[in-house]
Amino acid sequence: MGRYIIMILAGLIASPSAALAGEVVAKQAWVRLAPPVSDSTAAYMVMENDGDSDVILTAVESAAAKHVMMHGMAMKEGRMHMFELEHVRVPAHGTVSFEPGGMHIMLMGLNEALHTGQTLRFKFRTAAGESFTVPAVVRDMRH
Amino acid sequence: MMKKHWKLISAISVMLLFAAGVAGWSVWHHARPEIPGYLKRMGGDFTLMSADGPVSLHDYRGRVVLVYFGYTHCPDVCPMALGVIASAMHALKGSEASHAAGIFVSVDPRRDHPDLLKKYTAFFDPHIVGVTGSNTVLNQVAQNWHVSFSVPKAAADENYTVEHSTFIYLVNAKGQIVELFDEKTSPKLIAQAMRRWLD
Repeated sequence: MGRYIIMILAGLIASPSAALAGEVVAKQAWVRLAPPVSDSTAAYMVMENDGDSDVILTAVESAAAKHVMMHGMAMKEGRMHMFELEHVRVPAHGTVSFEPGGMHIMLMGLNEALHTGQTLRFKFRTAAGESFTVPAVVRDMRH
Repeated sequence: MMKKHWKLISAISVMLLFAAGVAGWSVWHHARPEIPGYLKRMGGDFTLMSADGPVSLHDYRGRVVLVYFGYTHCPDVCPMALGVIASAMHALKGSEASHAAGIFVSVDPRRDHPDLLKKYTAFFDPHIVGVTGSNTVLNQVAQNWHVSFSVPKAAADENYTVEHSTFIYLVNAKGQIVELFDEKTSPKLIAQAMRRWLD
């Protein structure tokens, strides 16, 4: 019985739509399975803000990697350029997407190799001083 | 009356011949796609180092090749591009598949040694070969292939990102760049293009 409760709780924690801080909900959160020799990867999710005021994300952290940050991407002089974002605004009644080939959560210096189905946790901080945690499942995107 | 009849037959014959000509030209044109002018000025042979020895583009004559320039510590666009390349190659069957290949060129030789590149590319598809070279050789290849990249001055054990072009080049069986894609192109579309250039 106890084992089932633990499984249900684990299931809830690993749910793809979780993490509430104020009015922001992160959905479809996942992490790209990195090739075994690479110590970098990215996490993706959609932040939905059902509230009446904008929520400003100011930082993200995870125990999975030495450096975790919100990254923007832009094509500059024919090169894909990545840069750290100090703030990401989730507009009131709006969404912001961290997505492949666009703004993403960068993980540099993974502490250990990831495996498919594993759940990583990302703690976001907001300008209002709140924080919330988003679980994201590692996915193998091959074929 | 008879004369009129022959005139009509002649006119119809000319029209039919013209239509057949147009249809024939269209089929021929479809079978042999044209290389856009701007691509004719890009590319060229190169020899870079893989874990199993030197690899030259001319080793791949007779095969269509997808070529991508990136680095293994790349968190987003490189794994996307290699995933797309692997999926496109995976969509080809039988003799098509045996006449297709992929080359991943690392522009970050300070960290990406050939042995590591082999393991990296094998994760996506063992038919993709990972190569790199000296900065001098890489700069020359990049110039010929219109690849722009910038590696920061940092130690190999530091975490740094590399700015780079994100084209997936399709090279035909003669070693010419014939089409450009990127990590957001559908693998199905790339596979179709590979088939077109294999015909």
